This record gives sequence, C-alpha cells and structure tokens, in this order.
Amino acid sequence: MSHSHLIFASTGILLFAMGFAAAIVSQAPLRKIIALNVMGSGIFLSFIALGSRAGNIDPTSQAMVLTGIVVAVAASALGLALTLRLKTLAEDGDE
Amino acid sequence: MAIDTLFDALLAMSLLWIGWRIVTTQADFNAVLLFIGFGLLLALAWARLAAPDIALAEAAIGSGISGVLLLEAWSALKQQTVAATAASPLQRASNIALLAGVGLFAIALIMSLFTLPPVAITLASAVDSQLAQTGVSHPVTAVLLNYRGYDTLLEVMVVLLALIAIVMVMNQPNYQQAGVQAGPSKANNSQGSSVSPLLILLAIYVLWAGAHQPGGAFQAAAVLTGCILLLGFTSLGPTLQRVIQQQQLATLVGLLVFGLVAILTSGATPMLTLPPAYAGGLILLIESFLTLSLGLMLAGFAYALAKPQGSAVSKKS
Amino acid sequence: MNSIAIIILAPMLWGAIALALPPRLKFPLVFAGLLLGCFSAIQLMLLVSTEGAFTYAVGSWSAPLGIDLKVDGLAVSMLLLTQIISLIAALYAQLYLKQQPRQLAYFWPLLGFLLCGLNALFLSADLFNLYVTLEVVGLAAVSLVALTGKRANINAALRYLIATLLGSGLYLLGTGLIYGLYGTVSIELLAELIENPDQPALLYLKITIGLIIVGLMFKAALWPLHYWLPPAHGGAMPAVSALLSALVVKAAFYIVLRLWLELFGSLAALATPLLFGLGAAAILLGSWRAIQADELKRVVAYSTVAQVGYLFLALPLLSTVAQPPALQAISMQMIAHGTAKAAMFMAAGILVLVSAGGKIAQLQGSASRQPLAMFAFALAGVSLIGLPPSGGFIAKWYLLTALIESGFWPLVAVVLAGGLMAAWYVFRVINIAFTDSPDEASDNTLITTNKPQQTMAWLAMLLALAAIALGFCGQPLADLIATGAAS
Repeated sequence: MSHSHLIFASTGILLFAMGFAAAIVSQAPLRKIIALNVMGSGIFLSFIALGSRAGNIDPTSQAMVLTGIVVAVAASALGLALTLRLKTLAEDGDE
Repeated sequence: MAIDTLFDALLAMSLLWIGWRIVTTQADFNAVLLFIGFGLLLALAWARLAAPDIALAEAAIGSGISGVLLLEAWSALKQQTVAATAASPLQRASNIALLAGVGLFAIALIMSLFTLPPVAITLASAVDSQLAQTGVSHPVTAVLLNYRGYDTLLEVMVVLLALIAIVMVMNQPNYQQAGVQAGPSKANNSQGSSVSPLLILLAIYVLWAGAHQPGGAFQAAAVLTGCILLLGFTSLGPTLQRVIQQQQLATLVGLLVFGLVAILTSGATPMLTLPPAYAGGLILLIESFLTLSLGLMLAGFAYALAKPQGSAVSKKS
Repeated sequence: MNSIAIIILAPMLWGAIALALPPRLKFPLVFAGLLLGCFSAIQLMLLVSTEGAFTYAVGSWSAPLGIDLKVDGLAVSMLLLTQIISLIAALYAQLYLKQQPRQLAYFWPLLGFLLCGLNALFLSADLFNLYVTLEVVGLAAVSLVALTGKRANINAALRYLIATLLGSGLYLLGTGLIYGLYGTVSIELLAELIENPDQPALLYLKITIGLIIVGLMFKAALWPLHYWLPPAHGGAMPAVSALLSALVVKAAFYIVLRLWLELFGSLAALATPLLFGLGAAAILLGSWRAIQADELKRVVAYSTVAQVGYLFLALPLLSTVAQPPALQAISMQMIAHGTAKAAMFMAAGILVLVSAGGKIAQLQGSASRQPLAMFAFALAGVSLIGLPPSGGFIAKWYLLTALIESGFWPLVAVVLAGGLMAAWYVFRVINIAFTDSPDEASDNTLITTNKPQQTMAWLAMLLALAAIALGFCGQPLADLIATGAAS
C-alpha cells in the first residue's frame, strides 16, 4: 500500500473513532449529529483509501461512497428535523 | 518522502485537527462552521485520492447542503437554553472507558493495516472490460447506474423517505401556524432570477457530462438544489415550496421512472438489466428525472428545516 | 423471476404513488399492493421448495461486478412472514387511525418503503447492498415511531435514530474494511476467500467482523445496546410497534445469522462467551424489566428485548455439533416471536383503548370490555412463554435440545428461567384485566360493540392463532430452511 493510501486510511479510522465517541458522549443532539457526520466522513475516507490501495482508481468503491454520502445527508436531515421538532414541543409545553 | 506524500500528511493532520476541534469545541456555531470547512478540506483529500466525482459530491452535498441544514438547525436551536448537565462520576468513568476502548481499537486497526496482503479481486479491470456494454464511458457512472444501479434505486428511495418524514415531523399540529412560510423572507428578485438560468444550464451540463467524465445525476442535482434555493427568494418560491411540501409529482418522478424501468426490465431477465443497445439512453433518461427529483428533494430538506416566519407565537390546534 | 422484482419494487412504487392519490384511493392501492406481495412471497416459497435455492443477479451482472440476491428457504420464510404481518398491520392501522387521516396518509408511504427495504434486505447477498437496505429500514422505522407527533415519541425516535446510525456506521466501516482487504462485497465470493486457513491479516479480519456484529447488535437491540427500544416500541402506534418488534429487529439479526452461517462462523466463534453472556443478560434483565414495567406496551417492548436474547444466545451454537437444532430454534424463534409479538402489540393497543390509560393498573375490567383482544393477548403469551402447542414452544424445545447436546447447562437454566419470567409478566396483565373495574360508570363509554375495535381484535386474534398454528409447522419449516441454506 502506498504511503498516501496508508495515511488517508489511518486518518479515516481516527476520524471514525473521534466521531463515534463524540456521538455517544456529546449531550446536545445537534452535536451528536455533527459527530455522526464526522464519523461517516472517516468511514468514507478509509473506504476509498483501502479500495484503491492496489494503486488503481477504483470506481466501485467511489460509487459506494457516493451513495453513502447521500444517505448520510438524508439521515442527518431527519435527525435535525426531529431535534427542531423537540425544541418546538418543549417551548409549547408537553403534548 | 516525496512532496505529495508530505502534502498528504499535512492534509491528513489538518483533517484530524479540525475533526478534533469540531467534537471538542464548546460553541455549537463553531462546530457547524468548522464542519463546513472540514468538508471542503475533505474534498481536497478526495481529489488527492483520484476521486473527482466524490470531490464534487462532497463539496456540494456533503459540505454544501449539510452545511445549510446545520446552519438552519443551529439558528433555530440557539434560543434554546441547553441545560448542560454536569456528568456524574459514573458517566465520567464510562466516558473515559469508552474513549480508551475506541482509542485502543483505532490503534489496533491501524497497526493491522500493515499486514494486508495484495488484493484478491480487482474490480477496476472488470468494470473497464465491460464498460462498452453499459452505455456510458465514465466508470463511476457505469457502476452507479448500471452495474450497481439497484443500490442507487434504493438510495433515491431513502432520500424521498427522509423528505416525507421531515415534512411530516415539521408540519405536525402544535407547530407554528400552518402555511409554513419556510425559506428566507425577503424577496430578492433580481439576483435569484438572473442566476437561475445559468445554474440550470450548469446542472444540465454536469448531468450530460457525467456519461463520460466526472459528474452525473447527483452532482447535477446539487447544482439544481442551489438554483432552487436561490429561486426561493423570488416569486417562484411559494410554488416550489408547495411542490415539495405536498410531494407533488415532480419530487416523486425520479423514483417512479427509475422504479418503472426496473419493473419493465424484469421478466425474461433479472430486473435492471439494461440492454446494451438502449443502455445509454435509458441511463440518461433515468438520470434526468433523478436530477430533477433529487434537486427538489434536497432543496426540500432545506426548506423544511428553515425557521418559519412570523412571531414565535404558536397556535395550538 | 418476476416475483422477486415485484416483491421488492411493488411496495416502493405503491408507497410513492400513495402520496399523490386522494385519500379515498390510498388504502385500496396499498391493500392491493400488499396482497400482490403476499402472492409473490407464496410463489417464491413454492419455487424454492420445489426447485431449491438459487441466485438472482440484479442487472444480469453477477458478482463481483453486480449485486447478487440469494433466494433460499430462510429468505422466503422471512419474506412470507413480513408480507403477512405487514398486511395485517395495514388493516389494523386503517381502523386505528380512522380519526387521524393526516397520520394515516403518512403511514402508507412509510410502510411501503419499510416493506421494500425489508424485502430487499432478506434477499440480499451483498454486504454494501445490505447497508443500503439497513438504512432504508432504519430510517423508515424511526419515521414511523415519530408518526404520532407526541413529545415522548419524537424523543424516542431521535434516540432510535442515533442508535441506528451508530450501528450503521460500524457496519459500513466493517464493509469498507472487508472490501479493502479482498476487493469484493459479495458474500458468496467472500466466503471462499475467508475460508482460506492462512490469513495474513487475521487481526484486521477479526476487527472487521467485530465491527459488523456490534453494528448489527445496535440495530437488533441486544443488551446492553437495547436502550433505545423500550421507549420507541413502547410508545409508538400499536401497528408500528408490531412491525418494529416483529420484523425490524429481526432483520438486523437475520443479517448476523446469514453472515455467521455463510461467512465468518468459525472466526466469530471466538465471541461465543460474549454472545452467551449478552444473550443471557438480555433474557434475564429484559424479562425482569418487563415484570416491573407499569405500562402495558412497555411490558411488551421489554419482552422483545428478552426474546432477542434467545436469538443471540443460540447463535454460537451454530458453530458446534448442535447446529441443526440450533438453526431450527433460531428460525422458528424469529417467525414465532414475530407473529406472537405482533399479535400482542395489536391486542395491547385495543386493551389500552378500552381502558382509562396505558398503565397496567388501569387495565382493570378490560377483559370484560374486550374479551377477544384479551384472548388474543393470552394466546400470544402462550407462544412467548413457550407453552405447547405453539411456535414458541417448538423454538424453545429445539433451543434446549441444542444447549443440552452441546453441554451448556447453565444456559439451559437461563432459558427455563426466561420462560418462567415470561409467564409471570403475561399472567400479571391477564390477572389485572380480569379484575372488575372499580368505576362502573366508565364502562358505558367503552362499549365492546365498537365495530372497528372488534375487527382490530379479530386481526390480533388471527396472528395469535397463527403463532399457535406454527406449533405444528416445525418440520415443514426445517425442511424449507434446509433447502439450499448455506452449509
């Protein structure tokens, strides 16, 4: 594996670890969602770095990561909507 | 060490440093801003890893649209007094245990990276060898819309699913007065309407180009989303919002066309078998509708999460 | 061939179209779609039992280039279970949400997409495709929990979402790592590569497998990663709780089962003590919380936590001499619990409607107001406890056989204790429901002649009877699963 790929794969793993831990430890939902996104970015980075470690450009892993990015945005958006809704409900009083 | 390895190392360290700051910073606003910067830096990493499609998608969708959504959320949440509860000793202990465990795992995994044998299967050559039958000449598009088009179909469903759920959640009774005037308030007619034709052209170009160079439906959709958000400022705004809020046909058509192609190609052959003669045309057809719908849906996320207009007086129903 | 395309694509399409239809046409379309799905599932089942298992290459691109679907006995039995429970849950929801057309309007597309995701999941033989289906199922499930809009449910939905995303992240990283190692995500191809005894990257592989399993544990709610389940399942609309407990958590476990059988059973056997421990903890602690819970739907939700424990407890046995009974136990447990739990949630929903509230203490007199629902609850309980004749009994029987054959006596005690505790919490509910309501006046407003409630009760009863009938299906199920299941 080339140095570059090794560097990025390791970075991805570390970002995953940071994001994962932060998503659990953080208290505010907004921060949890941001942490989950950092975690996702780490996963994608490792995915591509490892997928192309043979030196060639690997379209399959790129397509998979593209799919992953879109899914991650959709999931984050849903999380944010739930968070905002909770805030509104808290303001209005219980219902 | 070669220059580019040095560059990569610096890039990696910056990513890690920003990532660290994102999760440890106290202010939510800083976290959001840093995240947007993080995304842009990440796009650079994608470029270094020879993944221009992802770089485009990351900048536009991963950083751009996510950034918009996070800013909207932050803006709506900042009035909330978050009672930052001090962690109990038990929680502190378990947090530390978690961090230790996760750290250990990361180190073990990174060390094991050095033991990887040569790859058993290289798909890149397989992708290239069959490329002529896929109808497109850009490998990533071939994988996305042909070889693994099934994943893409499900993914489009995920986006629609999320949009429906978000609209459902944001519009539930007890929310601000119905007729949600989501989106920015001031009509800034001139700029929005003059730039949009250009953006639409750009979107079409990115879409069409995706067949033989980096680009394609998702990136084009992101451009279209930008265009739609700008149009939100103009008189077209309410119409667009209505289309999205009520999931009118335009938002559904991407999934429906793709699903229809899937059904129609199932029968003698497994579903989504695109005959080589028509593959190029079919892919362009699917991608066109996908671009339209995805553009609307992603804009829909932004509209739905925007702070509603008017005072904070809510109407209990 | 067509049945596969139909069973996956039909729910996707009717779910989307239902959005655009006027209210009067929504349910007929959905109902027709669900019936079509049931027929397709039956067709696939007949196909597999006569001609054996087969692989379906989507897009005519076989792995590793494309995505393979594996159609075998295990897949079709889960498919059939899913279509039937979805059909009944849809009928139930149509009646339950009669007064809330807005919620009902959102229920249909969410149900359709959930169903599409589940069907796609049960058939998939590709790790990344499984990830996408897991996301579909997860997001749909979260959205369904949030359907009612009440604060507790939105809270539960958010918690569930974070948990499910943590799980997906672990799973996806595992998938990426495996792809990085071998260059493919096709389960069939990976099986050959992993079987290779001299693995240079053994630690890497073990970490990868660990990531995948733990990620799926989040989604299957195995103790201690179950924390999100009781609020989510306990608070959601009864038809939603039924779908979630019966199908969604099973889907995650199903993947673990498949991967264990086909990919990494021998390697993952290292985790046996852990799985035994967590499974036992789930059974004992989940049942204990069910006994203590003071809300009816929470009792049923904690029961799910316990029942999932049985599944994970039996998993390591697949790598021992006791594999045949263990596999039978697991498959029957998935199906029987799915049926019984769905029945129980639906019955519980009705009991709550005819009582002053959702608390157990408020159930007094509900048995006389809705005897049919009570009876359904009791029958479902029979299967959950594991009394004969019922699917639950068959599952327990095989599980105990497998445990005895492989010599794990302490676990035999755990399983028996679990059964006793289940009896405790089921009878606790039945007992209170049969005591007379202190306030006679309230009876007049909650009449049993309420037609929709009667129909809903019949639906619950149907599923409960099915759970009992499964008690006679042990052998046919085993035969079906043996057809082409991975060796």
